Amino acid sequence: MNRRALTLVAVPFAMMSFAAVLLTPPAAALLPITITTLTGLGFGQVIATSTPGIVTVTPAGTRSVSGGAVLGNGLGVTAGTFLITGDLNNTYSITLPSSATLSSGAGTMTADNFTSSPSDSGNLGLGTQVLAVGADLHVGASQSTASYSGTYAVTVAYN
Amino acid sequence: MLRRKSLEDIMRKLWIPAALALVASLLPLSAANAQFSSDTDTASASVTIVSAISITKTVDMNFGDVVEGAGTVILATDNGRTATGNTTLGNSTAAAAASFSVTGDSGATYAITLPGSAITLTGTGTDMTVDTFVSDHPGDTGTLTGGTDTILVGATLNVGATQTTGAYTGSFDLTVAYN
Repeated sequence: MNRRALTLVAVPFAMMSFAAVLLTPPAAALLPITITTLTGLGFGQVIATSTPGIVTVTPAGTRSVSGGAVLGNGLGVTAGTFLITGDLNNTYSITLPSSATLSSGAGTMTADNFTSSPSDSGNLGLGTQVLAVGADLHVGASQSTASYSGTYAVTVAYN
Repeated sequence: MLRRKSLEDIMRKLWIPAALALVASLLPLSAANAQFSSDTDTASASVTIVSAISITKTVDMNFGDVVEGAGTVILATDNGRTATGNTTLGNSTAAAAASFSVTGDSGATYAITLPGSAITLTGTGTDMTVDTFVSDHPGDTGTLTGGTDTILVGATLNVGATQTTGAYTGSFDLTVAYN
């Protein structure tokens, strides 16, 4: 009778300690994924005309224009870059904003059609990857001369 | 027997807290995983809208009167002339460095591109060339103080030994671009 009672006591305690053992490994197995800005997205110098235009910067940092805007010099033209860190060989999804607003005291402009490299999903390989982002900037007709700036958010999540 | 029963009851009752403890201890774990499994960062986007830079010639370059003889006439940006070789200087009245007016963004700096190779002056006799263009802006860069600036340009005229008398003309381009 005593032996049986002991067994009955032992089972729940064994379960509890098993649960305690379970607590640690999953948390340690997955390094948190992090994203850190390396460089801001720069469209450089642009000359507005009486016709609206679109200035595109690709994730490779190449700039082009369509419509009425004219490209000024290329100083400050750069793709947005981010450092992603996390677990070895894990893949992750990338969420880009649908649009962002750049503003100055003289007005606002919209950036949209955000693109990235890698595009939809990245692979952390040895634990890090650089993510590059480009976008379209809409330059208004006779957009006021000024320096415009804004922010945009990029989210990465383990697949 | 009665005692054993009650002990079993106690043990059965212990299962529920044990199970709850298990579930409860797993909850914060999954919450922590949600925090680790994604991250967001906010970066800047920027552009500078500038007004177009433009350049207009206000004064043509003129080497003035030159007497034939193989050599050169160096026209400085302050309109001063120097002859070398067998060339001699005639009347200086018309001699003038070229002058250009530049307009654009106030305070912006810009680069000047002078002709990189010789240009040709044609006239009554053999063609002459003009080269070694210089501007009055050190480093060929300027600043649009108040949105305007003036560039003066000089050059060197190469004169032949038996240059036919008469007027010779040509043209050259000057390019400005924002830095």
